[in-house]
Amino acid sequence: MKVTTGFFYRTFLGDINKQIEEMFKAQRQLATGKRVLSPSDDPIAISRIAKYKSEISALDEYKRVMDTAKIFNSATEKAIDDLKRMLIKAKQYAVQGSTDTLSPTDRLAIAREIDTLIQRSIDTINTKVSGRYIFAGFKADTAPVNAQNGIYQSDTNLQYLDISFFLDVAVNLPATEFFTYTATGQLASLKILTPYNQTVLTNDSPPPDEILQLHDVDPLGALLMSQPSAGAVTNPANPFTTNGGTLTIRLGDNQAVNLNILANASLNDIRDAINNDPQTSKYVKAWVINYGTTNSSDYRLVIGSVPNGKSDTIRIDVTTTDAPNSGLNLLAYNPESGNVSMSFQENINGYNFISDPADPNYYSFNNNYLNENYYLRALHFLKVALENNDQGRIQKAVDYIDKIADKLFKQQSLIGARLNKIETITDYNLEVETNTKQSLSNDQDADALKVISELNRRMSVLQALRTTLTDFFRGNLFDFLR
Amino acid sequence: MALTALFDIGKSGILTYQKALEVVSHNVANAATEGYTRQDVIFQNIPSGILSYAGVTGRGVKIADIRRMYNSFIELQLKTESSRLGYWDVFQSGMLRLESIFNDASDIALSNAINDFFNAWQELSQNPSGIAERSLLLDKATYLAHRFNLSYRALLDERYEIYKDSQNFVNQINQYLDQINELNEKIVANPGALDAKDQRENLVKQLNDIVNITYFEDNAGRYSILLGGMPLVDGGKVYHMNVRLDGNQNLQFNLETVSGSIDAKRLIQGGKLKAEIDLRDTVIPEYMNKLNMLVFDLTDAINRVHRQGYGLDGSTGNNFFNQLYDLTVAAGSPDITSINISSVNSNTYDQYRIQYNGTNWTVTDNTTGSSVTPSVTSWTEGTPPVYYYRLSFNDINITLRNPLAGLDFTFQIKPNTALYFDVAITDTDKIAAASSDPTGSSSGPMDNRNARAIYGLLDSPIIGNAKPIDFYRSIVSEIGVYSSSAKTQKNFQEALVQEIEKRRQDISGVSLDEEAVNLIKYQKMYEASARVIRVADEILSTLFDMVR
Repeated sequence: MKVTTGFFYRTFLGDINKQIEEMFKAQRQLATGKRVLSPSDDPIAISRIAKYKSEISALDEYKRVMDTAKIFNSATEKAIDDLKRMLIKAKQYAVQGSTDTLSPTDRLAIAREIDTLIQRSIDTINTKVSGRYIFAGFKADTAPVNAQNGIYQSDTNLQYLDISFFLDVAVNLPATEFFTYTATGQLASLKILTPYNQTVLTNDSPPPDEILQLHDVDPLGALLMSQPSAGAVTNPANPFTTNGGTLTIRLGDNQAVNLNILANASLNDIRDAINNDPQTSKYVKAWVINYGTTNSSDYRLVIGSVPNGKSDTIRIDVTTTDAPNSGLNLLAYNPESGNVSMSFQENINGYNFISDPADPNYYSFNNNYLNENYYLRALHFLKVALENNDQGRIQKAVDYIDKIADKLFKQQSLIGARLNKIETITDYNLEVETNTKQSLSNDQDADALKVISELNRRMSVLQALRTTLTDFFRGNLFDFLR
Repeated sequence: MALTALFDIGKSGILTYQKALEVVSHNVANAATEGYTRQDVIFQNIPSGILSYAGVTGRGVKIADIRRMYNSFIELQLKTESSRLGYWDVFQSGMLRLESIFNDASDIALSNAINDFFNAWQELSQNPSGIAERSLLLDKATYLAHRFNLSYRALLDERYEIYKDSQNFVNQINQYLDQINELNEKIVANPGALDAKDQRENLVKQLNDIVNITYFEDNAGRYSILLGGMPLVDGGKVYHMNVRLDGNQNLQFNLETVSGSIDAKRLIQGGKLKAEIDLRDTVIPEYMNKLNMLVFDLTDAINRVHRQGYGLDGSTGNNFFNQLYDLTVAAGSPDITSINISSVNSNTYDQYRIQYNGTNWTVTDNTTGSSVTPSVTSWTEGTPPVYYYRLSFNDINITLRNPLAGLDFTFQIKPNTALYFDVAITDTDKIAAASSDPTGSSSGPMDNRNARAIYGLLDSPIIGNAKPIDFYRSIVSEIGVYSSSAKTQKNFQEALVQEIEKRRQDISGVSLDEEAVNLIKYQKMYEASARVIRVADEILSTLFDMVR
């Protein structure tokens, strides 16, 4: 087959260009470090490369989020630790204050210390980290606890951050969980943390028969009537005792007093009789409370001593012709003689342990429920008890502090769990990131060794081609024509 | 006769071989000419004119023909494959340019912009009240929008460039047609003009590279050129082509004919022009539509979540990105919660009219004037119950909330959607990071739930049925496959053309060595003939010397 001159030159040129083109591509791979320079180089790999880059970008972002979450939660952990230490101090003061040998002035001095602790606690709760109050909800630009009245003034939302694909963690801890609470309803404007004997001034649609004066209840316990065998009393205005009778009431070593109860008297009547009688009311006070819920009421009579804290020394003997376990018989309390129908309770639901925020007595200073659940309340209770030289209540305050310490432990473990989660996810994400980066490198990066050897190969081929050309066309027939 | 016969025979030799040397030097001179067909001399002896039984000599040599060494079958093969090569060459360089617009291997890939935009929402969720985070988010969003605008504009510019190229090609075609026609006439008047035939052949090849034509030689020696059966050059007449853009901005080719102008687009079946047509009106619009769909659905999804959120100043119901459809309300007040498209078709950018009479929905396509049957699903949410209706038609899904009877409105998705993609929010306070009013009592400035919800869209199938990054990378991958296969096709075609060219060269090409041999041969023949004349001269002199 005849290979013409023109064709040979042209083909040769094409071949040289091809070599140079391949060399150029190898050079670019070396310079950029990338094997895939454009989608057509490897269409399948380019799709994977895009996916890996996207995942690595997300993981980088999650790293930053996890740092933020760790900062907030660590700060929270430290703050709770500080509160625990202050609580231990408070308990020491309380135990010290409850000893008999202290004088009222000594107790006043301790009360001053407790006040300092309260202020420091509020400051701790109002810690700000990276511009955010960590014990607030979403309203993190205002201090969560009002330093004047100690009430929580933020919201209760938890702020979550995404720390990984489909995983989140909370970064704040609204102080209503354990420190203080939000006051709502009619009594929201009251200065809650003032001592007992408050009176409610506003009165919107009061429930019937409720006295709007807050219970001057005894946080240290009172006598609770037991439920009649015939069933709970659902309406305190209904007749309670069929035949009436006499109550003989004695407080401690004092003189016994007799009180007549008319026939068909209701619980409310009995309460009024006890409270209005000039002699009985010197020693005891009676309340009608709902021991159950609004849906299933269970009205009982509660009798407490008038000088608070001595309800366990009340003795009540009943003379009545009512059937056993009903009527006035339910009001007997004489442990010595064995005639006991009432019982002495520390926390009486609806009396001094009110958990329903709608109850007007919820914010009463002697509500054991609030004092057992909220740090600030317990400390304030202790302070006031010390100021009033009330040993019984100082002792009660120690109980409160124990319960609060429990709650603090729970919060700490909650935060600890969050930090744990962050740690685990950090490690896991790191591993995923390493693997993804490895896969990306496999697809994307040029193997320098391979590329360099390719370059060398082509260069030698190019060299050979160039030499061949000059040799081949060194002469043709025309050179030999004379 | 007698003695002078020698002179005549010698003379015929000299003249003939002189001519043959001319042909050889012509070949040598044109050894490098593109498309040159080697010319060969056919010698023929001149018979004596005397009728006789025996003993008569001939009268010398003459040139019977100077022939072009031309194999029409191989020429045809070469033209066909060369035309295909032209197609793939243009197509492949077009795909290369398309690749560079969507090059995800580079460090400034569009997918980076998408990732950065969503990451900015995650940054915001860590500090929703921070001015720095909000400004950063607006920056990233604006950058994303600009990248999309730029990419789309690059595609539009590419289409414009291809239109300009097509115009150039058509001009060239018309030029070639005129030149071929001229040469036709020359060759008819002068059939021996071999070089004119070469020129004409070359022009036909160039023309065929641009647009696939068929040709044949008629009795007079003219070439008739046909495009898909319609004549371009025929019997001395030339019919020109021109190119324009039609109402849909697509290329429109017109061919003049005897009876007027006809649409020539469907007649163009191959060649570089066909590659331009395919690129401009088939391949690029597909990716323009995919970009549009990505932008539209992304905007819809993000706006939907953003409207439900609250800004720092308590504002709600704001779109984050500009609304990408036009809405005209004739009656009622439509509460459109979402419009998205599951794929783009020829009716996506039409104007639709939707009417509700309380029980039935009527959808009319105002652009085509036909009515469309939607498939309707409805459900309720929440108490008091809120009614939702989703209408699906022509791959468009539109969801309306609490529609009342008498509702009548038209909407139209903006064509060239990606050009209008832009951020609607200018005030950083209005970025809705919160799920409840942060100025209210139940929430605060650190409410980041809506910001997290928007980040979560990165993992949701919001573009048709695909997540945003997945949808984008399928575009890139597809382009990669197209481009890579075009490269393969072109390489294959190049090799094929080279093979056929080699065979053509075998027949029609000039080899310097061969011509050198011919040169020597004819020179020697010339010398021999010259010597014959000298001998005749000597003989005559001897004869004259004899008679004194």
